[in-house]
Amino acid sequence: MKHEHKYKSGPEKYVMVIDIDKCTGCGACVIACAVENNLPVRTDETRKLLSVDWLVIYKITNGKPFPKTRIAYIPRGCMHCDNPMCVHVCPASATDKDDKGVVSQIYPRCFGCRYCMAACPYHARVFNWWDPTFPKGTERGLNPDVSTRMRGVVEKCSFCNHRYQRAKEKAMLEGRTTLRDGEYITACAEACPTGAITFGNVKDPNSKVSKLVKSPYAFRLLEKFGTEPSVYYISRQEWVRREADRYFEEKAKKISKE
Amino acid sequence: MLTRRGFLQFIVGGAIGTLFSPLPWRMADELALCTQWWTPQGPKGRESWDYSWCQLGSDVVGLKVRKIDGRIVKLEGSPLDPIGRGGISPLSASSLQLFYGPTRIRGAKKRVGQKGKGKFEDIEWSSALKMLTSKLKELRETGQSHTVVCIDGRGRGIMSGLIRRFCRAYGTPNYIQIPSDEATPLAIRLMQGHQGRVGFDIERADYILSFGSQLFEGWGTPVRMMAAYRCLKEGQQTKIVQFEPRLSETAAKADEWLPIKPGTEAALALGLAYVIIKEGLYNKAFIEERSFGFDAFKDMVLERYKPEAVEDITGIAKEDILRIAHEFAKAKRPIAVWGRGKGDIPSGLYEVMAIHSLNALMGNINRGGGVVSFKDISDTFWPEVPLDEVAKNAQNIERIDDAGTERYPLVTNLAHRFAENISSDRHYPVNVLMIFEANPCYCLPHPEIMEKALKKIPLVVNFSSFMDETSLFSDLILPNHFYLEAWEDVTTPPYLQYPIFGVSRPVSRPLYKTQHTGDIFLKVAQGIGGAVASALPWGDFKTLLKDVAKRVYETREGTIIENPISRPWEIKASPNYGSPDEMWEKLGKGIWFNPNVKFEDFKTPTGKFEFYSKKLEDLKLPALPQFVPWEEGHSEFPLTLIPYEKLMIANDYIANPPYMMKALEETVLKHNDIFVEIHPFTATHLGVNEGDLVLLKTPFGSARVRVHLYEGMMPGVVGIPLGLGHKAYDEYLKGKGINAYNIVAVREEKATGIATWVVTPANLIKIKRKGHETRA
Amino acid sequence: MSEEEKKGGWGAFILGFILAFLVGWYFFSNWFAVPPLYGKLEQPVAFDHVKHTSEDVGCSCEDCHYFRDDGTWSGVPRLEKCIECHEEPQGESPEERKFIEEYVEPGKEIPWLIYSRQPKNVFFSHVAHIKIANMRCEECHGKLGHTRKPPVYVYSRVSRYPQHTVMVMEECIDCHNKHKAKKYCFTCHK
Repeated sequence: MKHEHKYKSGPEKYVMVIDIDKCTGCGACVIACAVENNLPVRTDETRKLLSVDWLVIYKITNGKPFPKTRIAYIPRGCMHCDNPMCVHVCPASATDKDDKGVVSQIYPRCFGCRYCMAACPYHARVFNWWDPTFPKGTERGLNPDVSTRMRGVVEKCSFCNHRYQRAKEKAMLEGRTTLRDGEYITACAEACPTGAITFGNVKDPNSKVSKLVKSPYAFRLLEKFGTEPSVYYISRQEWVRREADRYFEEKAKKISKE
Repeated sequence: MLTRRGFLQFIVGGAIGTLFSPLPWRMADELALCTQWWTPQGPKGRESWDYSWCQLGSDVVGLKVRKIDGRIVKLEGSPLDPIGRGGISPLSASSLQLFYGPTRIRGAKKRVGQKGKGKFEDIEWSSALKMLTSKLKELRETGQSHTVVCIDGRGRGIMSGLIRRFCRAYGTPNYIQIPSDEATPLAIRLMQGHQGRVGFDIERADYILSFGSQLFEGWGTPVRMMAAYRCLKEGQQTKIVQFEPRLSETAAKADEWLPIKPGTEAALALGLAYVIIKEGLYNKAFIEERSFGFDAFKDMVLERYKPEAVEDITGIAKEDILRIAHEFAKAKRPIAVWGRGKGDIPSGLYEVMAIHSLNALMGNINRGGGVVSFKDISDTFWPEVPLDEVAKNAQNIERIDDAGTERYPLVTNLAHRFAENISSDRHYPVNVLMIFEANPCYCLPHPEIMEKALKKIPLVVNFSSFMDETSLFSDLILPNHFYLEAWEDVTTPPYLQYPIFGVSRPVSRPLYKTQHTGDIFLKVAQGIGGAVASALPWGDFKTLLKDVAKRVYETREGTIIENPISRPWEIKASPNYGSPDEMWEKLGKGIWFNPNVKFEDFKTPTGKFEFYSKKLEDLKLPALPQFVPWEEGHSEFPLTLIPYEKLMIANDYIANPPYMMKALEETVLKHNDIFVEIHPFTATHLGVNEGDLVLLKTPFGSARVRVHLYEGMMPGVVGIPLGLGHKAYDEYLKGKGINAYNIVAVREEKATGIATWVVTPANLIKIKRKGHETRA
Repeated sequence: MSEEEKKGGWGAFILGFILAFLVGWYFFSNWFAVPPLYGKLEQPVAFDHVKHTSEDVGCSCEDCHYFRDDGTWSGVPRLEKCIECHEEPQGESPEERKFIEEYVEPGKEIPWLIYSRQPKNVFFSHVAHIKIANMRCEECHGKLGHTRKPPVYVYSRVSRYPQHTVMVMEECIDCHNKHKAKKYCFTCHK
């Protein structure tokens, strides 16, 4: 295996900060993501391992019995790790990490070996077992900025990269090469009605995220693996910070059972 | 001559020759390019943005509409919406799928074949309208105008006002709203004498008691409540206490969740009142100067609702009752809210009175951070209806659903009685039923009775945009535009603390041959002529909206939002519109709102807030708030079934779009099986495990379901989500899960006739699967 | 096996080679662009760039091809742009009369054949290439803007993409390498 250099970003490094205490688990982000990114929908989506989801809401509990039970919601997209396991294992170079912090996925290049899915500890990547289907007539609402994916390729959250491209085009027309805070945000961050999701350039000292990531309550999922995710979570509740990682261990067990 | 060797040489030569030509490279590229049309792609074009308002379900969301060459591709929350301030709800975000989807009805249709079979033929709009108009005219001329019934599923705003006005002018008392929260307006009318809006100033409250309201899952307006949550969490750190049998998403976000036995909220409220009164923690100035009947209330509460007794009824510990009552009384602006679930699971009158008494005890009425009452433009706009002889006579005819009759004098709608009375021929036969934005064959308890009733009505006219359950039982379908294609009014949504008025303009040409239902009512009125025509003189709905806007203009109050405002309820509004035309122009983008609205004073017979209602006393009904248990024990049904609502499941006229079905958790639906939630204790008791198939039995039916063990469910209680189990729509929705309305028990409040289905005795019986061994 | 047969020579091989070579070049090179792989189409309207930009008409390139306010490229103008001048015939040309009858009067968009149509999975930013990289239009679009008559549209019947300008990734990368431009996946892909 080739030796990986430590990742260095350019003048922009985009991160997402999700305040778990503000998230009500409403799912507006999930829907906004699906509409924005042309996610396919099948008639039966109840087997979640086969579903194509970029953003899902995990539910964790404090494990205490009734009536002391508490629940928290963790929206989980791609973590856009600075040390992305998926990129290291891809034999087709269908995914890379770019200088603004986004881990890409190019569908026409992917041949569906799914190594990346196995490598990703967050289950952020999904496989297209079928060609995408849309309820009859709804293809008219497809977003032209995002290409639809064919059967046999892996896909995942792109931090709405096309929105970056759009924002960048506008900036370039005005002769700017950098974006202002808020010019590029993901569809989920924009949709969130409680303002739980914040998105921005962490290298811009004036951006909201650069302040939020310094919060003593900020943490990232599965930090012990050294993946260096770009998605930060904030919770003032101690049990949430403690239980967040456990979710993935249980989920992995469940998947291996299926 | 060709030899074998020569042939092989030729082939090899050919192969090598090919390699030196563009053929292989060209074809490799071609194949790669071919993959580009394997999947549908959205065509590129010029991007443009428009503004609209989504008012599906309980949503009222200002939208920014993204279009590519006029084709709508995305709906986003508009920062100019003072209610949601840029947020969006799952339903409005995915409503584009409903707009383009296959369940839209593409033109006027007439039934052929048996009712309920869903066979229709296309019919010209002109002949459909003629058919409806002539039928209505004929009935009116033969003195049967009261046999026309209108069901209105929107139940608010100008559109509802128009239908109500049509009914009045035409001469029928039978204007029915479903779903309809009867208890709230009635309680406010009795206790405060106010007919109009009631708002909760949640954003400025510093302590919130929620009696089973799923505040962040669709109660009131979803985006408003989400935005309020943000505001509460970033600002004054308001404490939210949730009383609910189930750990819902709202309970999860509340600061404290106290599981309460289903349907006992009134007892708890009175138990809290006990502590507040006993310890003298109430607002003495308010009670002495502005309330009536406090002593009677005090005596009753002190006698009957001791914390120990309340603990027995509600299951909430005495210590908790004491603590919460102290916290509530100590807060500066404490507020108690009601409305179970999204507000679709009705509360009784006495329950609402009991909860509202808490607000009165703290004097937190008609002031910032409290419960406020005011008039909306949709209440004040309508001019007096000119009534002719027919219409006057109709006012003396009793309603088909018994509401407002001698037996049930207080209520305005009893939708559950409507179907029953028709199917059992209790009153007069109904000749025409017009249904607007309602799906009574799905979202009323025991829909089969409604189906039976619809079969008995000779002309059922449905204005639905979708092929829903009720459409299948209709004779004539006159599909309405989808909201993106229509002129719509935006008026104050339930529980908002200030009035708004907006106009949602069409942002797309109609995709199909649909017509605005408002226009149809206006046209039909003109067709009938006479007093009906003069009562509804507007040419079309847009003209009517312009008139309403003009009336708003004349108030010279409020302001039209032009830039995003973070705390709209706090601003000092001054009119920023110079002329009606300017106002109309500005309403294309922003919305009019008036945070400085004048609150409505108490207009009860005593002119004070009435703990003890004079009106109830006059009617010889119990005049004080009280707790009446909804259910009696059943030995055959040891468990209690409660329906619960989810924001991810739309459960009224609008059904779930495919993306929302996709986003449902795997603990709600597995293939076509619905999950009911039970506590692990209950499961152990019944001998069932996670995912097991069981038979859910209630006195009204049974259904095959799976169990999901949930630590956040009260032991002995079974939770079932509302909004699944559709019999109509497409394969993304049809046949998935069961419709909980089929099996719930309907209980009537004795005094008012209000029905609720909050508790149903139930049992779960394990299904032993045949051939289990072979499958394992 | 006879001696004669064994020697045989290279005749058949050469024949095969030449035949395949010719067939390959003739039928598969887009130089000749002949069926069955290639098709040729005429544009629906014989638009004359030279005439429009001439002094007596006086259009500039930017009148029709410009950056929109959001930074996106307008591409080929829509009918509404044409109607600004051609609501009524401006000259005597039969081509113009045909254009007005067929498109302007019924209000039908002209189904232009786009020479530079690219696959849907890539994102191409005109503004990045023009404003930031300072490239000229001709570097990619050639002399298209100086033609009296639109060139023939050659396309592949298999992939349905136009042939002279459809690009493969290699070509993008070559140029990005040359100019030291970014070449992350998401620089171009969408």
